[in-house]
Amino acid sequence: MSFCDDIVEIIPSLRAFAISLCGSRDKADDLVQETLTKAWAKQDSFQQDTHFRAWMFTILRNQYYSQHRKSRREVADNDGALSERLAVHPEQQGFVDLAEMSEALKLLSDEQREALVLVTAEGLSYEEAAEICGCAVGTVKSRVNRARTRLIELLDVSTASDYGPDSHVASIVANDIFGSNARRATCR
Amino acid sequence: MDAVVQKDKKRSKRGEKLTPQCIGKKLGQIYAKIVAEPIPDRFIQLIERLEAEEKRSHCSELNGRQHE
Repeated sequence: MSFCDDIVEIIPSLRAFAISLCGSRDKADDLVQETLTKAWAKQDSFQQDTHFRAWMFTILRNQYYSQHRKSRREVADNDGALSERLAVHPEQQGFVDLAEMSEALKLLSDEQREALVLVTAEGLSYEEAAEICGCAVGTVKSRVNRARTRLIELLDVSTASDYGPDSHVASIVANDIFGSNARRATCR
Repeated sequence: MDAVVQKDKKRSKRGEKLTPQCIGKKLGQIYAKIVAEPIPDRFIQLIERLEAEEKRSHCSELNGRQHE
């Protein structure tokens, strides 16, 4: 397989990783384009005994951090905006949907998100993820663990449905705690 | 009583029990969905352009050597 074939094959995974980092498809595609250009220019420095996938992901990650370090998207949920969006009564749906997962993912720190995505979604080993992230294997394990815990917290029962299945009681509680959006959701 | 409350708290707002495995599965679904998308044309065009540029520079390098 030529370098060109290798690079085309890895584009879908690069895009998925870039989207998880940038949180926006347009920015992610720009990042992938820059990564591909850089990788192409540096192809002579790629050593055959190293993992091509890890090499490409490292370039993308470095590119991302060199551009976006200053404007990192560590979004706090201080105003409860996420909680409000998630305030839907359990009668309505029986599962956490993918859109909510995407939203919750955006609330993780960059380090936690990238570790979780590389290990859990991309299926890399902790060692490979550590190589890409430039940190110790133990650090990656810890970040993945914290990211999972945080996601569970974000998607967990911190909404009106905490207070039981009684929709009347839930609507009263939602009215007091979450405001009108939650009230609408629980009264449906 | 506390134990019951804690157990309930481990369930998502939608009634689904959230576990690390469940989180991983959902994340995997999102990721797989993006990976399965067709490669945008801009990337194919970029690779073609880079390949063409490389060939051109390789050819001009060879021509330069022949002239020498």
